[in-house]
Amino acid sequence: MTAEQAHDRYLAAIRAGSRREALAVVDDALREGMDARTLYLRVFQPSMHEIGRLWQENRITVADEHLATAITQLAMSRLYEELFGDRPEAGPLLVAACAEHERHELGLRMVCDLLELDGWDTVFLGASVPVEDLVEMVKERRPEVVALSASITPHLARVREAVAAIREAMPDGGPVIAIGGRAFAGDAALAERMGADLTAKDAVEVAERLKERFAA
Amino acid sequence: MAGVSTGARAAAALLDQKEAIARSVTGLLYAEMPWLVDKYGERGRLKCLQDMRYNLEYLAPAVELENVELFVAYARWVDGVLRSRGVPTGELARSFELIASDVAARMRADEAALVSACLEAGVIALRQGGGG
Repeated sequence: MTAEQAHDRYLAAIRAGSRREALAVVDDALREGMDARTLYLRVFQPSMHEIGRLWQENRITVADEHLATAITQLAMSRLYEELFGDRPEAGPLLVAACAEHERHELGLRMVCDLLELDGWDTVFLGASVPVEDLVEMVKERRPEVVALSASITPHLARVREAVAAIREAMPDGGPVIAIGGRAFAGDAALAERMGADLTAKDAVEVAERLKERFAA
Repeated sequence: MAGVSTGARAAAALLDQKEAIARSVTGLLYAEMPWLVDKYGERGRLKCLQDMRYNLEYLAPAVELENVELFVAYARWVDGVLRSRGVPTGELARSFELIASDVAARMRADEAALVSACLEAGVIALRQGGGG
């Protein structure tokens, strides 16, 4: 099964709302030796972008989109179980959170999983994390990187507040702050205005940039 | 502490007055296009009002950052969403123009100018996109 075939089969499965078929695609792909990175890069991410496009074009409903998202979260969990057993590595620590009110969390979760494949340790906080609580977590865990996500521009103000609050709480030796999500669309100048250190156009690329930055 | 920029003031005003602007612009749009009532029904008017709130929520960060492209990207995206649901580009573009004139009457000239710059760029992008 090529990556393209896996993509087409997976997309058909999540469009049909079939958990079983979606998981079968993942299992088959793994059995045939496809690596996890390829599954994220060529199957999950493009399939979910396609689901978003189908909603935009009024060809599927919000309910269909949520179902596809839930299935992909399940598929990612399945992959996680397969691939991440006990890992002795002590790579960089990443704390990942969606901006307050932001509910699109899948991309950020992909960033976490992709980095874990590379030996990182990640703490995924998911959707809508209040700024104060995020800062507490960051102070306590002292991660090398904080990744913040926003999919729509109305959430940019919350991202900027979070970045500023982290910088203020940790004026010296604070984390590298990466921001991403559709609201940024890879706009490095915008990310810089938000006070962040790094951005990229999608989840896979954010993970790549972070790996490069922390490569020994 | 740096002073608050004109963009930040204008964005805050847009969000503070979001409900009033959204209601006013929806009323003006329906007054100009009375056939919308038959076309979309009473539910359509509520959806229109909600769409105006969204327009303002997306306008605010573009104004705050004085980043016209942020609003243009939204305009193109929402035009695709609306067209696929039977709302023509012309109605969206007109609503942007009505927001600009409503805001001009509410805000200081320098603030309104920033708002207007974003909306005008949005209208131009919509007309170039040519959805009808």
